Amino acid sequence: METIREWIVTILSMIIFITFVEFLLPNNNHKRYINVIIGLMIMLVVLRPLMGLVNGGVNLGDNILQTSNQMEVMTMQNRMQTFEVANQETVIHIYKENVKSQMKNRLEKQLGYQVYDIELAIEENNNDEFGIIKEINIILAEGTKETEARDDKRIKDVQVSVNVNVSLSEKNYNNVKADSILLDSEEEIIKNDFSTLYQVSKEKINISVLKNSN
Amino acid sequence: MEIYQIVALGIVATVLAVTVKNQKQEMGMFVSLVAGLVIFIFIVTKLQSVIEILHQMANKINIDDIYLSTILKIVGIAYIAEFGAQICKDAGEGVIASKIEFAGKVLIMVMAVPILVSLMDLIINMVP
Repeated sequence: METIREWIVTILSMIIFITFVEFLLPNNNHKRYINVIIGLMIMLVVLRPLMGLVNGGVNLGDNILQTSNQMEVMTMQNRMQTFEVANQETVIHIYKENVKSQMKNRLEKQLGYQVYDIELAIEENNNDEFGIIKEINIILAEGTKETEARDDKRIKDVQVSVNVNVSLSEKNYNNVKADSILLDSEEEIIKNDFSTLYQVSKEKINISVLKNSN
Repeated sequence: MEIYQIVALGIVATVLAVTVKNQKQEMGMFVSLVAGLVIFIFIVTKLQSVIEILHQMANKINIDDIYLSTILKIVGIAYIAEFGAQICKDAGEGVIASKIEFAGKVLIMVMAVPILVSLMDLIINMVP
C-alpha cells in the first residue's frame, strides 16, 4: 500500500512540477526537444515500480548517474586524445627544428659550408624508435665560405684587369669546377661526420648543391 | 514592484539604443546587450529562490532528486542558449546564433541520454 501511495504521489508531483516548469521554457524550437525528454521522464516515473519487481530494486538515480558519469569519462578521453595528437605534432615540429639548426650550425661553423636547406625524415610513430632520424637531405648553397673568400680576391683582381668580361666568365667557370671537385672529396667527410653523430647509415644521407643561376 | 523597474529599464534602454543607433550602430548594440544582461541577472536571482523552494518541496515528498535536477538543468541550458543566440541575432550575426542554438540542442541531448538509457534498460528487462 505504501509503495502505491508513493508511486501516485511521485507521478502527480512530477506532472505538477512539469506544468510549472513549462512556463519557464523559452519560446523557440528547444521546446520540442524538452518535451520529448519530459515525456521520457514521465514514462520512467510511471514504469518505476515495475523496475523494482524486475531488477530487484535497483536504484534509478544510480543508473542515470552511472550513465552520465560514463559519458563524462568518454568526453574527457576524446578531449585528451585531441590534445595528445596536437601535442605530439608540436613536439615533433620543435624536435625537427632543433635538430636542423644543430646540423646547420655544425655545417656552417665547423665545416665551413653555406647551408640552403635541410630536410629530415624521422620516426613519428610513438614506439620504441620514436624520434630516430631515418633520412637526411642536405642542400648546400653553391658559395661555400672558402670559395667566397676566393671570390673576393678574384674580384679585386678583376678590377685591375682590362679584359673584365672575359676574365670574369673564365674565373666563374673555374670556380664551379673547383666546387664540384671539392664536394666530391668532402661529401664523404660530411657523411662520415653526420653518420657517427646522428647514427644514420651513410646511404640515407643525401647531399646536393644548389647552383646559383647567375 | 519589480516589474516596474524592469519595464522602465527596458524602455529607457530601448529609447537610448534607438537614439544612438542613428549615430553609431555598434553603440546601440552595446546598449541593448547590457540592458539584456542586467534584466537577466535581475530576474535570475528571483528564479533562484523559486528553484530552491522547489528543491525543498521535492525533498519533502521524497521524489528522486535526479528528475528535478535534470529538468531544471535542461531548462537552464535552453534559457542560456536562447539568451546568447538572441544577443547574437540582434547584432546581426545569425550564423553564430544558430551555432549557439546547435550547441544548446547537443547539450540537451547529452542530458537526455542517461534517461533514455535507463528507460531502454527497463523496457528490455521487462520484456521476457
